[in-house]
Amino acid sequence: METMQTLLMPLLETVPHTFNTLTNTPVDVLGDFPQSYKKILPFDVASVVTFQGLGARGTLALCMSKTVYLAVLNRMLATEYQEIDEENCDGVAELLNVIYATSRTHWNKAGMGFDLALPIVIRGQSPVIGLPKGGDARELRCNCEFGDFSLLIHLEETLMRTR
Amino acid sequence: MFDPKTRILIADDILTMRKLISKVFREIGFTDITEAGNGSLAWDALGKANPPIQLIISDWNMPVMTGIDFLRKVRADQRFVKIPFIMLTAESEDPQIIEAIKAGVSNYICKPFTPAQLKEKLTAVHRKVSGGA
Repeated sequence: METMQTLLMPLLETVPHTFNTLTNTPVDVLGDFPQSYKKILPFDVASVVTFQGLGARGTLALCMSKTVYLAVLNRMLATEYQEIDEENCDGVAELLNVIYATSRTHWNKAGMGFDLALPIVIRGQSPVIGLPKGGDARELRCNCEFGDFSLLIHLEETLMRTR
Repeated sequence: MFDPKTRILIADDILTMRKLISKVFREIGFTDITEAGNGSLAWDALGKANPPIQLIISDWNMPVMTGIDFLRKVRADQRFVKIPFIMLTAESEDPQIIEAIKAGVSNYICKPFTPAQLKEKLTAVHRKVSGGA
């Protein structure tokens, strides 16, 4: 799907750039985006943003284990959090927000017309990301010194232009 | 550069980001920092602050009242019209930057940012408000 390729390419830059700049944590994007989001790594905290554009709607989800998330967060804030709680869980939403907004600049230059959107946070015991059925879903497996984490992207082309 | 005693208001809906921005400001040497979780709360804090706020740092994309609406309110009020207002946001598309400039933003920082970039923009804003080049 050509549109999915248009979405994936900027993420190769924006994910490492966001983590490196904001959290001082170098990140590598691994693999070739397998269509296997049902097999993603177990995670303890995630952020999801859904967005709508000209002829497509999509979802991005950043999913991290407690170990990776807290290590990244503690480096970013110079803190020593031991648990994910109300006070610190929204850092994952900010990371996704920056990834989405920076990528959207590239996507919209390609005419995709994606809108502003606010990410939400998902956490708890055995949290699940529910992506819409249909469309195309990919996982970007990422690696940093604290372990691996996933960025999921789902894209569904719509028949009618929405704006 | 701004005086370290400058009263700063930070508006961002993400608590972690407010902590990060505050941390960077404290590392630069600032000590008087007020935080607000959206534009509406920031507007309230601005009105109540005594002594008055002297520098505003605001996100764009926030619930209840966005950063751009907050900026417009600030610039429409004679009490606050001259307060330096920096937009610190992930929104980096040209139309948004132009919209912010038209609304009277003093400077614009795109996330992700480094402490050095923030300091550089602060220096530029200070030079501007103190009548420098």
